[in-house]
Amino acid sequence: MNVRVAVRIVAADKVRLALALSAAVMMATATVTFGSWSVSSAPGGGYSKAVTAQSLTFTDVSGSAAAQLYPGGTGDLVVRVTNPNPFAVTITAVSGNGTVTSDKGAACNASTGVTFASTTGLTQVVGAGASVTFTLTGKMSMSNASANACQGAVFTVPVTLTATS
Amino acid sequence: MRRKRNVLLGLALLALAGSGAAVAAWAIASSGGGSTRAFSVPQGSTPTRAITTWPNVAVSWAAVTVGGAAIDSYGIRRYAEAGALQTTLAGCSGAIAALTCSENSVPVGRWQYTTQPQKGTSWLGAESAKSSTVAIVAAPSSLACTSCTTFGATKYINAAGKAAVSVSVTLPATSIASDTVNLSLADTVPTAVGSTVAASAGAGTVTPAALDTTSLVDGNVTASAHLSANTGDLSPATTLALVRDTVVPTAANIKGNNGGVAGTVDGGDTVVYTFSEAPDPASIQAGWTGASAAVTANINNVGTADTVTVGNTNLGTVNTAANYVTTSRTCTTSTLVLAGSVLTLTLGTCGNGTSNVATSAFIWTPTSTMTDRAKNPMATTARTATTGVTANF
Repeated sequence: MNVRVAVRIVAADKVRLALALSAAVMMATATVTFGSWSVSSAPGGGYSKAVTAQSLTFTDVSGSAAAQLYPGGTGDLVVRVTNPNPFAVTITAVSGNGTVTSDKGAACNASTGVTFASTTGLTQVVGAGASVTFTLTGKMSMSNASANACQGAVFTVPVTLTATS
Repeated sequence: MRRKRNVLLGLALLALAGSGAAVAAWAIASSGGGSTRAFSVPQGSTPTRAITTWPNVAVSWAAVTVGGAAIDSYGIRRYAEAGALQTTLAGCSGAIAALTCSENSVPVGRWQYTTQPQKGTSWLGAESAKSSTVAIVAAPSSLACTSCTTFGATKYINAAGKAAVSVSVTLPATSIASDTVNLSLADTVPTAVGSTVAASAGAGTVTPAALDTTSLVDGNVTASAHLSANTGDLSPATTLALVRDTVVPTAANIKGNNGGVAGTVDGGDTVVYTFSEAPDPASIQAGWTGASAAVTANINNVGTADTVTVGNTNLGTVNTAANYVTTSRTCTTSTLVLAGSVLTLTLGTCGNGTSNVATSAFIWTPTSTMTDRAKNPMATTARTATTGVTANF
């Protein structure tokens, strides 16, 4: 379903108008599902040009992650994202999304002891087409069970960002 | 009109649905990876070591940290100087949270220690460099004073030997050539003199240079020897008790006492010799222990200076300074008894002779064959009875 269809429905009869209303409401309120959402961004005419909201892209920042973790300690998670959309978005939440891995291979990965604490309530703005590096302070922790091979390791922490426009 | 209203409504919906940037709250879920980095546990610090109470070794080291956080524990290892890893004993075994430990009952040998920091259950830092060597050195097995005189079980330093006291040291089997034998002699002041000599490998006997004890005072002297390793570590000391006695014994008194018929030299009369210190009875009569011994006493008629001598002894001569007998008398079955520094001659059966009633102060001139227990020869200076003129017999 897209906006163009809705516009066309405007010229139809009432039955079609009712269907268009339902579709428009669905479009306006369905904000939790990621997808190729189309955005009407050409105001003024009877028809709108379609725009697709794209996912933010991640950039490896392992090189700039400072050493902070040790068994029993906590540290920060550094994330760098790029917003490919023509509109600014605000990152509001970051949650873990898989197994933490390291650059030390299996010996460390078997027991990194590293966990990420999901966080919400963020207000990290990423401008249209901009890149931002932000730090989630103290959200990483390492248990005493971390393998000896994990010393000096750089950990990759899979996460899912939730951003709103 | 109805159609116009529908169009307006449709446009309103279009505005609601299509103007996402202005009205709608878009949620964009994006997946990727963030980064974080771990510290490494640093290498342990090189420990220092010291023998506290032999053979316990105190090991100390500086703290290391991880990200400013204290290390949870340290592992302590002990190596033979030659390199072989040993079993760390109680006190330093296991995980040590402190920065020092004392390994108890460390065996004799030369050892080095390392530390290894640990954080969590698995993170280990690199093992430190080895400490300097600590040597657990066994004590000498025994000492023997080879220049000392002996009375009973006591070893004496006497006047003749005080300037060169020689003590041999028997080494333990674990002795090595780089060890040094340290010998000292100390009095109760305490003043001490000492000398050293290189040890030999394995069991054996070495004798440091003889020690001049002129600066020491008489009395108890302790000979003490220990081994020192080239690490500066010391063995326990092995000691030997000595007695320094450099005073020449003298005659302190001489006195006769009637024990039979007054005014007559006869059985039961006694002559009491008092020494300045306890003499060695064997120096008075060969083999004598001081217990009651049968002797023959002679009362020699020498004009007005009759003398008393005792056969087969080195007591010397007692000048009675009077004419107690007009003919010499021989008193067999006489006895000698020594009690400390007092020797008593008791006359036994005296042969025929004539006694005079006389009074005098005896004069005793001892022989230098007699000695004290330290084997210092008796001074031969004559001693007159301190009690003055008496009847004596």
